[in-house]
Amino acid sequence: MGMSDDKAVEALGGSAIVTRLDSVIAWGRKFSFFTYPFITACCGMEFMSVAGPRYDIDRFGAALPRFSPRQADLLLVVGTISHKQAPILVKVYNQMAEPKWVFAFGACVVSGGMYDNYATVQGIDTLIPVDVYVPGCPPRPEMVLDGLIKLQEKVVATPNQNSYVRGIAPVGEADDRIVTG
Amino acid sequence: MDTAAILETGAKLAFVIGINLGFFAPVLAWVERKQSAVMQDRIGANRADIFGFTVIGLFHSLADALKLIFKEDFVPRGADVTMHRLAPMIALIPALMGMAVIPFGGTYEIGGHAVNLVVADLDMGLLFVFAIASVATYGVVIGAWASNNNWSMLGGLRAAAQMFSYEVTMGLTIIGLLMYYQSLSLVEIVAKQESFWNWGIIYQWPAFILFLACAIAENKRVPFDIPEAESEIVAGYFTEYSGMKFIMFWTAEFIEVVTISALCVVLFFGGHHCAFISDAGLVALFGGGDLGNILAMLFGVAVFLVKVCVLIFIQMIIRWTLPRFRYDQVMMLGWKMILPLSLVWILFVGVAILTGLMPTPA
Amino acid sequence: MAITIKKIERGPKLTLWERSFVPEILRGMWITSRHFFHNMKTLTQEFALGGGRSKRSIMTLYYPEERPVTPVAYRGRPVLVRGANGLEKCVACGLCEAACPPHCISIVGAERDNGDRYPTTYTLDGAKCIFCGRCEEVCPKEAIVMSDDWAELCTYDRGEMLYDKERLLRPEASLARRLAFLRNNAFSKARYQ
Repeated sequence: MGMSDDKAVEALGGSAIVTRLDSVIAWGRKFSFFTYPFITACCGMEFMSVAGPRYDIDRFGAALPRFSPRQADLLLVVGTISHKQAPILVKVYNQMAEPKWVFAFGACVVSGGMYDNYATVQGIDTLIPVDVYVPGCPPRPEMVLDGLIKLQEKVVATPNQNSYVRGIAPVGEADDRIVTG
Repeated sequence: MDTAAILETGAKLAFVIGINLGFFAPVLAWVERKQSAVMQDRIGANRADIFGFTVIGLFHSLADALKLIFKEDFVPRGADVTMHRLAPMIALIPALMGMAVIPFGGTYEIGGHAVNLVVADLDMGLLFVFAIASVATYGVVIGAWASNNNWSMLGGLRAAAQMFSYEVTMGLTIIGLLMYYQSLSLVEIVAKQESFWNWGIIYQWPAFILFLACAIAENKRVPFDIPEAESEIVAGYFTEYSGMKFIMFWTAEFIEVVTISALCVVLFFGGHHCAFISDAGLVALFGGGDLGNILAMLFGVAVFLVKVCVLIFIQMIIRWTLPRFRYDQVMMLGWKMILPLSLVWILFVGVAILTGLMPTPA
Repeated sequence: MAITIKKIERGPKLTLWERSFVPEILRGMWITSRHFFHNMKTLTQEFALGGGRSKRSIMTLYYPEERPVTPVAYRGRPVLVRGANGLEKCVACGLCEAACPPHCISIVGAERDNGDRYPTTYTLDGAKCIFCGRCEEVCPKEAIVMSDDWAELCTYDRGEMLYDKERLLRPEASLARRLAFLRNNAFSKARYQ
């Protein structure tokens, strides 16, 4: 602390590489997302294509789907969320371990999409904080990968660890976290 | 115990643990991703770069480890805190301990001193490996039970039953081999495989197939990964684990893959011996004396590691080809198919050795 | 009352060898190994031996370095066409607003001094748009077309996806391919000369 990176390198005669622990950790986090594919509807087909051989999401390190929310850090909300499904989504989001990110995949998740009616949640951000919005019905795999790249840039741009702690969703019960210690 | 012996054992121990945790565990994570990708007609992870160098995706293992270390560590509500924290350690440490008796090289005369490349030269080395593998079961069961979660409990029960049944069967498949080599000590078994025609695979190939199947089942890898079946019981026994504890379970699984491969190499594929070259011939090839011995030792270790890598490759192919067995199929396979087959094989080997059909190595 | 038993043929009987599934397992492993070694060979040819892209048999498209070329009929993001005089061709008739299934378009129209109608505000909510192309179909003036912009639309904030008129306008020359397709397409309603 106290000396900027460039000045430090200069002081050492250019013989050292200087970085901060935060950026190293952010590097680690951005290249290994353990995704939780919360798939409910047709956008799941596009998720399958993105994970398939043609547009390989594994290239970005986000290949391993962990179906336990405790182990996942990227919640991919894919497909229409109805009001019946909303508490389940909030519960899964609460159960995820920090740091966690949410990826809104598809028009139904970003806003209600085509379904402006009594049954559909008009956008996930009314329930949980969202990091990247990917429009489309369904979004092309390239758009999904672009969203992932933007999420990686976001992870790198906010390396301060304290900015990641999200806590529980603003809706729902306070003891939904079901953790202790 | 003089200081030289302590230093020697320390160096061997450092090598074994170092190459397991430092090389095999991250590289196996990479192999799993990359091999599955190339088998599935796609490129695997290849974008993690440090200053522009993407080393065909090896940095992704580093990124995984970094991320998992800095993830939130917690204990679920209602869970047994001590047991929840203890379980991953109980799963990981026996996996590492099993490598202690596996010889990764032969005996070499360096500086007038016989260096035996095994951390612990036990007379009953093979029995030690099986005993330690049984202790690993506790880690799984304790972890599952301590999580206060339906799916963990189901996964733990399945894991317990599967691991116990396949341990019994695994022991029985090896007995034919032990009758053939007439020793329980892994160092002796490797020493007897100096000639190519004494390799375990030549006369004991059914035992190899049965042993590999049982060992994969013991390790809870696909096709026997019922305890951690993703689509059935969320994540099975490690549902409630995240961060460092998850790394420990994951690493334990990979280390056991290496242990199984190393065991197969030592029992069936001649250990560190290069086929058709005898030990003395190898030392002479490298010039004899101290330097020749050191070079022969390095060559032997390299041959051993190459063979272990081939076995790991075969296990990965099995993993990414086969679908998961149903739970009753797993139990039926263990008790009703592999066990009788191994008993038949023991009978056959006994008769064959007595009648001279199967010549035992000297 | 007698019970009739009907014997159902369950297909060919498997031999003991087949029932153990060992031939099938080996065949499966043979197929995956074949894929593995073939792909390793072409990958080595592409990268290590410098054979280039043509040697690759793996079909992965390296987005974002490589992008696919979509056919002209592919519907991307809707854009407003800027005519030859620099103004939008849209006359604020409201047909696209009526035809849009998720109601993502809202128009406020007005008249210019020379009597031409134009939209004072034209808002298209990219978050709700389902890329169906009905707005393009019903437009009588070829004023809104589906462009080839189907990537890089992701944002960190949903408000950024609320496109206003300025962000939607595109010069007509850049949309020539799509316009030509629309005119020549027998099913297109944009037959206005």
